[in-house]
Order: sequence, then C-alpha cells, then structure tokens
Amino acid sequence: MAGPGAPGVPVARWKRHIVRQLRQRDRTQKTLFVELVPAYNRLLEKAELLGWISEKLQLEPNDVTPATLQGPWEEESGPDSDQVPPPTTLRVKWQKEEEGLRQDCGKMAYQVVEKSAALGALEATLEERQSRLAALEACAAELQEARARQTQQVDAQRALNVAQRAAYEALRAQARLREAALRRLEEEAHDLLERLVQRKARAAAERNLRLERHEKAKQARMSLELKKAAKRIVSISESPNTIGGIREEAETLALPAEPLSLKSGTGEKWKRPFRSASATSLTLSRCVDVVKELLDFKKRRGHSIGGAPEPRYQSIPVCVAAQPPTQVQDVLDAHLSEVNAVSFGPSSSLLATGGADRLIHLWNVVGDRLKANQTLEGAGGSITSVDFDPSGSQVLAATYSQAAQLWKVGEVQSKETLSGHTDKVTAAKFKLTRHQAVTGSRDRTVKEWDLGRAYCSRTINVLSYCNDVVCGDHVIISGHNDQKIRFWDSRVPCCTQVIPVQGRVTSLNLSQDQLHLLSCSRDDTLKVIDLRVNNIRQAFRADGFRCGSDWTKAVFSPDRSYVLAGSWDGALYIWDVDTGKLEGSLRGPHCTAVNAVAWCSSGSHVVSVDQARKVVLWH
Amino acid sequence: MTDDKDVLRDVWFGRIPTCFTLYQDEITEREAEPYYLLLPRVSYLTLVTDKVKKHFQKVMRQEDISEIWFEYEGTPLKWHYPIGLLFDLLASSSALPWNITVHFKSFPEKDLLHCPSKDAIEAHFMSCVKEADALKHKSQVINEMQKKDHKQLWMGLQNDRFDQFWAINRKLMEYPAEENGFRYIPFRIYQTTTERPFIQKLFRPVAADGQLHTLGDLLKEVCPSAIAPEDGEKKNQVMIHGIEPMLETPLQWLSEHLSYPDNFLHISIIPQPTD
Repeated sequence: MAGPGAPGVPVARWKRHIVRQLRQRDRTQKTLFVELVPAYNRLLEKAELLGWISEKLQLEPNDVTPATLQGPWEEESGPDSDQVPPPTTLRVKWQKEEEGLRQDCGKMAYQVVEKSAALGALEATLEERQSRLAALEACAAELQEARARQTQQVDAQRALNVAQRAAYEALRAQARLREAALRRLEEEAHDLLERLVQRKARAAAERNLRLERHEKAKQARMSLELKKAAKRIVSISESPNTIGGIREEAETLALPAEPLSLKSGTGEKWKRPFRSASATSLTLSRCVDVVKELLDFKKRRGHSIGGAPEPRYQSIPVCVAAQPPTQVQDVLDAHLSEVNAVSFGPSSSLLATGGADRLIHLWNVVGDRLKANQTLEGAGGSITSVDFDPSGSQVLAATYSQAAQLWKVGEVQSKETLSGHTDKVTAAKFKLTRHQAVTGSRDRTVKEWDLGRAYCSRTINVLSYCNDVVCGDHVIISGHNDQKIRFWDSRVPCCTQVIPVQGRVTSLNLSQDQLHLLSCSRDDTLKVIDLRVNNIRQAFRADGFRCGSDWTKAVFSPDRSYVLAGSWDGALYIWDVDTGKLEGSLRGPHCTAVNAVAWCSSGSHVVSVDQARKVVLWH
Repeated sequence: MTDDKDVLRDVWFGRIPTCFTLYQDEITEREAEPYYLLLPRVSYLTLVTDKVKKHFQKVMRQEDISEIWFEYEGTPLKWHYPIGLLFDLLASSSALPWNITVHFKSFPEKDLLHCPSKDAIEAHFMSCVKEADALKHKSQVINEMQKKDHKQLWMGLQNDRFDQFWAINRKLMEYPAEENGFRYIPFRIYQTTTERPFIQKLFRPVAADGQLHTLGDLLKEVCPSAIAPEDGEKKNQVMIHGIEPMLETPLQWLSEHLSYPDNFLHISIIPQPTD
C-alpha cells in the first residue's frame, strides 16, 4: 500500500481531490436515497400485503352474500321471526360453550399444578446447586490459603538458596586462593628440582675432572717408570736361563689369547669334539665361564672404543653342546588348566610357565627337580606366551585380554600393561635392544613397544592372524594363519620378504646365532630356514608326529644341532638338524597334546607342557 | 494511510439508486410496481438483483418467465461489467435514480452473455482477478494462494463484506520493495463512441527514468483522443467510480486504490455533458 515516493502536501492534492469527489458522489448518489429506497420497499411490501388482505376480504363477503341477500328478504316477512327459534338452541349452545370453558379451566388448573410442581423441583435443584457452589467456594478459599503457605515456603527456600550461594561463593574464592598457593608451591618445587639437577650435573663434571686428573697423574708416573727402566742396563751374556724364562713367560701370555682366536674363528670346529668326548657338565660349564669372561672383556673394550649408541643386552651363545633328553626327571600338575607357554630364563635355572588359569609360575631347576619359586598374578586373561628378557629380570606375557603384561621377577603384581591390540595377543617377545618388545595379535597387527615409556612405537599391519613372532637384531619375523612367514625390517615400512609354507604357522624359533629360523606348521612339518639366503633348508617330518594345536611351539636346541617338538599324542620328537633324520621320540607322562617345549640355554634340560596341566622336566 | 483506507471504503460502499421497471410489452396478470434498489457499484447486476427478479415474477405467469435481462435506454446491460462501470459509461449524466428496464423475453443473444447461475459470475470474476495478477506479478501471488483464499475473495464480494475481501485482496496489491510498483497496470478503457468494447495494453507504472507514470501519461499513450489539447475545450470526462481523478494522479496509486474487486482499473471516457 505504498503511496507515491513522498507523500508531501503538494502530492496529496490529487488525493484530496479524489476524497472530496468521492464524498460528493456519495452525497448525491447514495445519501439521498439510502433512506428512501428501503422506505419505498417497505411501503411496497405493505401495499402488497394490503392488496392480498383486501383480496381475501373480497372473497369472504362472497360467501356471506346469500345470507345478506336473504336477510332483507326475511326482514320483510318479520324481523322477529328468525329470533324465535334461537333461545333454546342458544342456551344449548351456551351450555356447551360453558362446559367447554369449564373443561379448559380444569385443564389450565391442572397445568398450573404441574407447572408449580416443576417449579418446586427446579427450586430444589437450584438450592442444591447453591449449596454445592458454597462448598466449592470454601474449597477454593482453602486452596488459596494453601497456595499462600506454599509461596511463603518458596520465599523461605529462596532466601536459604541465596545464603547457600553466598557460602558457596566464599568457598570457591577460598578454593581459588588455595589453588594459587598450590601452583606457587609447585613452581617452587620445580625450581628446586631444577637446581638439584644442575648441582648433580656440576658434581658429575667435577668427578670427571678429578678422574681425568688422576689418569694423567698415573700416566705421568708410568712414563717416569718406563724412562727409569730404560735407563737400567741389563747384561745379557751372564745368564742364558733368564732368556728361556722370558720365552716361557711369553708363551704363557700367548695361551689365554689362543681360545679367543679359536672362538672368534668358528665355534663349530671345537664344539663337536667336546660333545663327542662327553665331557662332564662341570668341566663344560667352567670352560663356558672362561669363554664368556673373555668375550665379555672383548665386548666391553669394543664398547669403550666404538661408543655404541644403543644399550644392548649381551647375548652370547654359551651352549657348546646340547644333549638330547632321554628320561623324565620330574612331573608336576602345575596349573589349574591347560598350560600354554613355557620359557627358560637366561640362567638356565629359572623357568616360567603360563597357563589358561591366568597365572604364571616361576620354577627353579634344583638338581633334577622343579621347585616352585613364585607366582605372578594379575594377568587379564589366558596366557598365550611368556618370555624372559635377556637379563632374566623381567617376564613378558601375552594374554587373551588384548594386552601384553610385564612383570619384574620378584614382584607378584604386573608392573606394566601394554594395551592397544584389539584382539587376543598371541605372542610377546623382548627385543635384543634394551626396553623394547614386540607383540603379535589376532587383530592382524604386530606392534613394537618402548617399555621405558610403555607406549606403542610402531604398528605393522601384517594382513593375517599372527600366531607367533620372533625378532632378531633388526628383523621381526611373524608366522601367520594364511600359511606364510613374513619378514619385517625395523627400518623399512613394508614387508621385506614372504616365505610360504604348507600349513598354518604355529610357532617360530630363532637360533641363538640368529642365522636359522625354525617354523612349525599345521601340515605337521618343521622347517629350518637359513636367514642368510632366506630359503627353506630342511623340512622335518615323522610318522606319528602331528601338530596338536594352532599354537604348538617347537624349538632349536641351544647349539642348533637338534630341533624338538611335542606331538598331539603327548610324545616328544627330536630331529638332527645336520642329517635331517629323526633322532628319536620320547613317550612320557603326557596323555594329551603337548603345547610347548623349552630347551634351557645350557642344553642340559628340556621342559614340556601339555593341555592337561602337566609340566615335565626331561634330562 | 488512514485517508487511503477511507478511499478503499468509499469505493467499496459506493451505491447507485436504481429504479427497475418491467418492460411494457411483458405480459402481466396485474400492474407491476416499479422496484427501487441501491446497487453496489463494485458488484455485478445479476448478483444483486434476486429481489428484483422475485418482485416481477410475482405479477407474471409462470410460463412467460425465461432468463432475466436488463436494458437502459435501449442498450442491453452487460452483467459481466461492474455496475459502477455500466452506470458511469451509460448513465452518469442522466438524472437519478437510474431507470433500468427489466426484460424476461427475447434475450439479445448477440449483445449479452447468458448468466445461468452465480457460478458463472464467480468464474468470470476469478478469471479477471487472475488476469490482473498475471499482469501485476506474473501470477505469482494468486498462484501461491490457496483455494480457500480464492473462495474468500468471492464470498467477500458476494456478501458485501469489505474486511473479508480486503484481508485477501491486500496481498494482491503488494509489490516487491525493490521496485516502485507492479510489472504492468491492469486497466481497461471504455468509450461509448467507438465500436471497440475496450482498450487494454501493457503499461508500466514507472517510466524508464524512474518517474511515476500518471493517469495523464496513460491516456496520452493509449487513448490520446480522450484528453483535451492544452488550450482547447475539455470534451471528455475521464471517470472511475463516478469521479474524475486529476490527470496528475499516479497510476500505481490509482491501481491500488481505485481498482474494482476484479483488480482492474475500469476507466470510462464519456463526452462532456453539454449543460
């Protein structure tokens, strides 16, 4: 309804003109007639009505005309003559009329009575309504009172709320102050800690300085002595015996170096004779100790020179000759149900077994008996694998509860839980580098873990259900349900190699020299893979040997001369690696499938566990 | 604005006093009295003459009654023109009341449309409204309305309810804020002097230079013979709703306020009465 742009006074001129004209029009065309026309129409109606009535009236007289015509005619004969007959007839008529009237009267009286009765009833209802109304009003008053009370209560409550809010605000303010104080204290603590660290660093620097100085002094002394010795004159001609003595000395000095060179050459050559000579374990172990010491020495020197960046466990193959087991030494019902995993510690005297009862038992091998050492509790599910770290101080176990757990030997409760897998964890192994571990799971991943911070440092998608995993220096090898063994380099993101076998891989075992891999698969075959050329070197089968489950574990002997696996019927099968022939099968106290076997690193003992709670120690 | 609303009311409630007399050749049983009626200017003849029909039928024989039609001074009255337009065009200079002759016989087939029932009037009215909106808004407004809105327009006219009618008609009179008016002004110019029933052309409310077009501009463009030359004598009257708006009145305002209910601006051009 927008009028033109600016409805100013001049613009309104035409509009005023229109309004004025319209008014003028209505005055002349409408106002004059607005009363007249309806009035005329009323008159017309009345006239019509009048016409109609008069028409009717004209018709009625027509009926009467004969009488009126008769009238004068009779009047002529005698005006009273027609009044003669009426009295009697009139009386009868009147009587009839009277009777009729009386009847009407009676009817009316009856109606009056009826109406009054109805009135009474109505009044009664009215009264009743009024009483009800009064009651309702009383009720309303009551309710209003109640409402007033409630509002009072509400007011009181509100006042209370205000007071409480004030108190709350005060408390909050106080809390804020406290928090500020806490923050200040924390800052102070941080400062103190920093200062402490600085002081420690300073102390260390001082110590280093002192040591250096000490070293320098020593060197100076040494050079002084050397000079002194150089000055001394020795007469050679006088005593030839002393020359022989010196030579002898040189020989004795050379002797300890000899085993070193032998060992650093090929250990193989002189391991054999020892075994065939069936040296006593005492002498053997002494010899081992000597070798070990020497190697340790060498390694230490190597470290100080090279300054290796990664702290590593020193893994030394100490077994020179393993003996295949021949007889049962001890049998125990170790667990409450199936025993899934067994592993020797690096010291050969400590043994761990893990079972479906969520417990890990540690055992000491004392003489030819197993002595219970400790029970590790707190696993979230059935144990599928146990592993000692190379120092023998920690135990890593994989569980069905989608996690791997870490215990310290000597502590009953789990120290760390490595969670992150989304399905059963089937294998958990320590790496040779310190504080690192690898786990394999049914969720088709292998994860690498940093145990120092307990976080997953790498997740590898391995494409298939992983049954077992082992790791070398830089390589992780996983065995899968899709009948493949996959190799993963820790420096390369993708799979470096796949070796197919003919059945689901149930276990992997790496020889101590990390050059050979033993796999066991559901085609009841054990295979040795040479990692230098990455192909299958040998396959071992035997009549009667059948893989009992998807997690049946097979192992190398520590000197890699034999491979050992347990069969579904409880027998142990031993093959010679060099000849590829079955060395023998042992039947013992197992009545059910053997789940896992372990060969101690000194080569003297073998332990097997089965599905019926039994742990058997063999010699 | 109150003035504008008053204008709308005055337009709506405009009345013409009319005297209906029966044609002398009609056969009657008795003498037919003339019938007087105040006809609403914005309505249609056949919509408001039920009483007239009844009045005259009373005096006639049943067999003589066929379709009613009206005539003024020999000209059959088109029922599909608004009453105000008929009056302005044919009888504005004659004395009041307007004398209309009522016929029941010899329907002039070539001059008039049959009006069998009120549905025919409604259909004609709605088609006019739609045509007007097609010109004003490309039919957008009328098409967005619901059936009941259309019905309300018609019922408002039929029952002479100003508020009921304008509640809906208001929407038809709106235009987008960014423009100064409708797309085209729906108008029809009637002249008694020509054979042509009326002039209707596309005409925008705003000139190319943004100036609002006036009534004078429209006539100059469409019917230049209607306006007198500058110095010459005024020969014609330009009449809408029985009044002569000034020629400088903006056309857009006229369309919004002086349109008939069918949303058209019916402009009559009649010769200046000599007296």
